[in-house]
Amino acid sequence: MSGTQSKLVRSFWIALALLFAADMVLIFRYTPDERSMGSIQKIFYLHLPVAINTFLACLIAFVASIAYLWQRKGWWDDLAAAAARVAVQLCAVVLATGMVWGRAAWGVWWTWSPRLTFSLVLFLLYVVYLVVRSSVEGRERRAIIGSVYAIIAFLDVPLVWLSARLLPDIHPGSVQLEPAMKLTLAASFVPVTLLAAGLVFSRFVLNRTASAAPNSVPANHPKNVPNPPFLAGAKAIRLTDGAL
Amino acid sequence: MNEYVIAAYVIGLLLLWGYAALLWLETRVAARRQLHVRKSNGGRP
Repeated sequence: MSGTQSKLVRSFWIALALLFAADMVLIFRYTPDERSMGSIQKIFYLHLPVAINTFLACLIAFVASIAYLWQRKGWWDDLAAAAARVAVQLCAVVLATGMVWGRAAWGVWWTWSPRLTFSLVLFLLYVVYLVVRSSVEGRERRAIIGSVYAIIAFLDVPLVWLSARLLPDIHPGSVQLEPAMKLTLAASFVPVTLLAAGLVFSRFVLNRTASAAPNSVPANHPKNVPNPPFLAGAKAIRLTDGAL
Repeated sequence: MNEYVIAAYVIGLLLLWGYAALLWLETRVAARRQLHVRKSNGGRP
């Protein structure tokens, strides 16, 4: 990364931190409390934007996986892996904030309602995706298996989306907001979406770097030294070229 | 302010920005490693 690119990246993250700070001020200082739930409803301004961005990250992984199977270009696979990794992180935030909200609003940390269950399944599906990727040897094989898996895993996203609308669920399917709350919600989407995009991009660049240098350790590195004679029959020590 | 709201925001923002910090560190390590490899290989990537 050149000096100018480094400065641009740094400026982006600083601007994003400021944007988050401004959003916090908007949420906690200027947005009125909801009538029935009170201040607990303010969790919504983090929970919903992160949830929507989780779906977007899953969508990117899905589209990139289809594109990889179609074109067989490595960078599609790197993008799918990056989006899936960020989807796991975002989904963890959705589950954590949802659990805290559930405890405050319903009195329980967790309940097996359709939306909560499908959300947990979504999180686990993408965790397994990362585990599967790291356990498959060979870049192309890993990419093909990962792509097929990501396409199947994406099928859970519509289930999460539709579950609270179509099935009886304690989780609300839609909410009515006052104009000031709508404005805050719309404003909250900006920093969260930019953060999600920044995370996917950073992870993607790291994946590309790892892919471009399959053995990024120098030839004289101790890890590349052949096995000692007493381990001659053992599997040779190899460096993984994988990237999550 | 309700303690649940504070907890949700602290956990949520820590998870998000913690991962961003981790990626930033990883990027720096990758850049250093590349530099090291380049030096060891006599300037070749």
